Amino acid sequence: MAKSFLKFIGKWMLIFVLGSLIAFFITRSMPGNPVDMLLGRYGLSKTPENVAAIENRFMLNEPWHRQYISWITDFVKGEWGNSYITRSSLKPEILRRLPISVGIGMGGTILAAILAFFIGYGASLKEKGFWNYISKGITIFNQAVPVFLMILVVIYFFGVKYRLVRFFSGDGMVAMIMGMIFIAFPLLGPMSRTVRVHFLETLEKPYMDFYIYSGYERNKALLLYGSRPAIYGLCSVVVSRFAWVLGGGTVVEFALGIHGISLFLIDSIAQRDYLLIQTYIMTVIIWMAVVHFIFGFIFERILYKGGVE
Amino acid sequence: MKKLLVVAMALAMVIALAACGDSKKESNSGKDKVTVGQTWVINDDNPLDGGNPWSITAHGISEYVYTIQPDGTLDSRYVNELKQVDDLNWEGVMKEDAKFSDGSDVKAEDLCKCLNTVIEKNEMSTASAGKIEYTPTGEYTFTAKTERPTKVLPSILAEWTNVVFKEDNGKYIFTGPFVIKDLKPGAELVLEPNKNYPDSDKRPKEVVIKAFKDVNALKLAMQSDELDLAFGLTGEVAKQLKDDGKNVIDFPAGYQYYTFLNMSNEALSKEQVRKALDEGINRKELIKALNGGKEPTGLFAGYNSFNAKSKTKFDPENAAKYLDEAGYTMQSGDKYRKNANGEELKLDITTYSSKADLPIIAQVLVSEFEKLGIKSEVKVVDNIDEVADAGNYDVLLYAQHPSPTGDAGYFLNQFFRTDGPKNRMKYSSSEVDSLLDKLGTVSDKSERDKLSVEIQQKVINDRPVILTVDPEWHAAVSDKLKDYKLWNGDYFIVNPTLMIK
Amino acid sequence: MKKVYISMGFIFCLYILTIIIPIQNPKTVNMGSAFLSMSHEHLLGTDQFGRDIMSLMIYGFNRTVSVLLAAVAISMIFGLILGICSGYFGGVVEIFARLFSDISMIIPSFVLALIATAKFGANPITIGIVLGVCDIGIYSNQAEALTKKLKGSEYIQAAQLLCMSKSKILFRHVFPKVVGPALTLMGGKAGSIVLAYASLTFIGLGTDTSAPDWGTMLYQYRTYLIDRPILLLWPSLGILLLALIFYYAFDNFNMSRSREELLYE
Repeated sequence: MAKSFLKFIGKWMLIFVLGSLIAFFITRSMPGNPVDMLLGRYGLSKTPENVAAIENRFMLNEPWHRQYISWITDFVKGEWGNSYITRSSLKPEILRRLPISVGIGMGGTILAAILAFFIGYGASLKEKGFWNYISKGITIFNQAVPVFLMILVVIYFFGVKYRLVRFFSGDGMVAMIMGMIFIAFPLLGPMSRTVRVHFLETLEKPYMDFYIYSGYERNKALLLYGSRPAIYGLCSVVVSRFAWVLGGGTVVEFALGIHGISLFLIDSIAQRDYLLIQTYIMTVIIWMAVVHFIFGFIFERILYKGGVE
Repeated sequence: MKKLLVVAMALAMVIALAACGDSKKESNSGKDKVTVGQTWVINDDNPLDGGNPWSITAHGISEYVYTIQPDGTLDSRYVNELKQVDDLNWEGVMKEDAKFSDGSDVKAEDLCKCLNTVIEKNEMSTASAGKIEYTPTGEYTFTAKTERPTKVLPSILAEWTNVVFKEDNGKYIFTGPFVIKDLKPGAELVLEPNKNYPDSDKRPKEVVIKAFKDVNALKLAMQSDELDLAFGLTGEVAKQLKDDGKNVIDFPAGYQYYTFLNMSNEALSKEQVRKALDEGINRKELIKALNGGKEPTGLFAGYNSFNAKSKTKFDPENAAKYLDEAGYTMQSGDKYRKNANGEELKLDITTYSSKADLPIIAQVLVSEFEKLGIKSEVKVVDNIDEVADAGNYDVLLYAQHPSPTGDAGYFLNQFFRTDGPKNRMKYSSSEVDSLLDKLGTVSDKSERDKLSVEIQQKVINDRPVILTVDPEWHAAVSDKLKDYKLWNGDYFIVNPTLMIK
Repeated sequence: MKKVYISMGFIFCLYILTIIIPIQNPKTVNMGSAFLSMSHEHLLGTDQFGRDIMSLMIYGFNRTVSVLLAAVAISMIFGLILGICSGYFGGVVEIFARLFSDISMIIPSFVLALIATAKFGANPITIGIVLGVCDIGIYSNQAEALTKKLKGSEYIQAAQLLCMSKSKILFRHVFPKVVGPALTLMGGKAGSIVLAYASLTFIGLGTDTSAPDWGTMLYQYRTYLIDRPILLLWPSLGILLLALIFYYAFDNFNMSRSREELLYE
């Protein structure tokens, strides 16, 4: 335990350091820079005085290693600095938006997992059955129709045509729920296929014949004895998705105007807000470390102790 | 199977209930509430930060000392008269009825303190005339001393850095028609009327500004009657909303779309080629593609008194003749024109997508170029100013507000003076330069207008830039806001004309 | 394998066809003939700029396929190499391989796309490569899991005992077993790559709408989703067809799949 824990810490320390370097250099290799963006935005000419004033403000005239070291030490200390463009403090802003993105991301993934379990179960019962076609159909549909179009259709029919839901009023709960659904939808296909495979495997197990002979209904027996491995398989997919929930919701946040962390990022990329992009990437790294820690150590151990497999 | 259905249905019902319950709580039909949808919302109200003064003014929270009017002239609620004493010194007399939102009067002392703070704290405020020092000389009189000579101090006071405010215990107090009630940074802003602004009793009790990223979401929100004002619509969306029976305001953008030609490009250095492009572009197609706008007659928006009155021409045959004369001929069987060395004539159009109209114009221009036998592609870049400054383009499609402060001089100097900071066309004309020098010494309005027109005429004849379109922008309004007025692009999205019928 | 040949042959023929077929210049805007319905002159009608949709579809086909091929090539090649090495050698190699694949998935694709398009222009190949880089992790994770399992299997251990060289083991025994599931995974992702390009455009990546691929057409016509859905139908059908061809070609690629392999379907 202690050894693997140390290994885990070591690995993520390495990722943290390398990731921060990459984050730092990747922002600077983007075309354009905050100085040009600010000058362009306010219609100012690129005189040496104007450039110097802005560079001074952001420390951009310092050598890069100084900039990097000062940024990363501040970051570790918990001082995440201010946005270049809006000058607002980044930490409260990110901490305010993080739960929104994580919420719709995790909510959507869990919603997908629940639905996928039932669809997958249904799909495993009959090769040419309704649920198998549904599961395949969703998979293929998601390959041809982008999420942003689906969102437009849903808003049109429920919001404009039949006036059932008011998507844009209120405190944003509707948009959040919609966001979850649209994060869930593309996941339904692959997840339900996974569940189906697990159930199919259980069906082939010799003990299934035994249960059926001893009077159990086939489908019920399958649900009873196939659920555990299916859920376990589903869990591993869910865990791997959890690590990526932050980036996964970008289009959904954009289309629905949900002010999560990804939307924040897109704005700041357009304005070359270096600090914010760097902080975003570091936040994602920390989030992934937390997810891997929780599921790799705690969750896995509980599951094993619980006797699954 | 049954279980599955039950669970699925239960889930659907929970979601539907949550959604509907929410929608019943919030109804937008109330007379006293107005909801505005636009692409951004401020993060905070500090008037000294970066571009914030522009943003809070666009939200209707603050005002510039001078404000440009729909006809392109300047007006001020604070200054009655500004008189130039000599090259660097001015004397000002203030109006006495303007108030801050806390009810206190805006006096010379307040105004000078705030403007001096702006000069000190906002680096961008010194671009036009260097540092300016304001000194109160009485309760309502003051003097101003500029670092560099200027003839147009009122225009400088209409620049976006110069908002009227005062600081009170770390809080900012402004003078605009609305004050902040609640702010979710970047997402939602709730305003209430400023009781010390004229006509405050006619304003809605609450104005909510929401940020929408996607213009289609904005359209749908308008269609579902969840918005009273949708700002920043593209031409096609505006047309769809009109067809849907919504009120759409088409207003002159103030911003102009320019097609700059890189005169250091071999083909474009030839006058005949530039003439060919000018006469080969069908501007009516452009206007149709944008669903609005006018044929431009000068470098400024049509409503400005200093805009030139030239006329564009569309004559593709003539254009083809010019290209032949310039040595780019079409051989039979070829798709594109070639020069004497057999090289294809290729002109790429570089533009950017943050102004949604530009890629559309680029698309039409490419088509017009190809019809003339010029091979062309659109390059959409993210860092347009960097690309343009480096001169890495043939044809640059660019949006710019040339006269946000009601003066022509700044734009003309920046873009068309030899080695001007924004002269990316490498244009050089000694005639234009000397006319610009002259413009810098004239203060009489009609004289300035005449000179500005003369400069434009010269530039238009030389064609470092092709007049493209004098655009209209669009906003949709609910019946409540039928009389709402918009002008000067996105500078005053929420403005004093926001009153409930 | 037959299915693969048939499908890829089909795509190749289409590709050749799109080059041979004479089309109207898809860049030609003609506002006078906007929104024409299907006719002899315009087989699929025209769009809001009066452009011939048939020409756009044909012209867009090879751009679309370019995005797809570039993405698939990058993510499969690098993903498989990283995954196999990491799974087989373990230790330090594993740490670094995983590090790389993790990082490829952390960096927002939007940022990468901006850098790439600025350096190499916004063409389908550039975007394809970026999308490919962002998918490396998926392939390498899969390949790693499979390789680990194979390494424990009897015949690899036998090969090791016979002192077969590592490169021989990897190429002869591990690679063929890993590439099948990777192809299956790819077959199931083809359409989403085209859509990923459209999504990048949607959130603000500049793209040349005068020379669109099918994904960009979806983005460009999204405003007409309700009023003129037919504009969106053609590119959607095109992408669907491509997705189905890939799905058909590579689904059940390796008939004797183990559970882990099936898992990544």
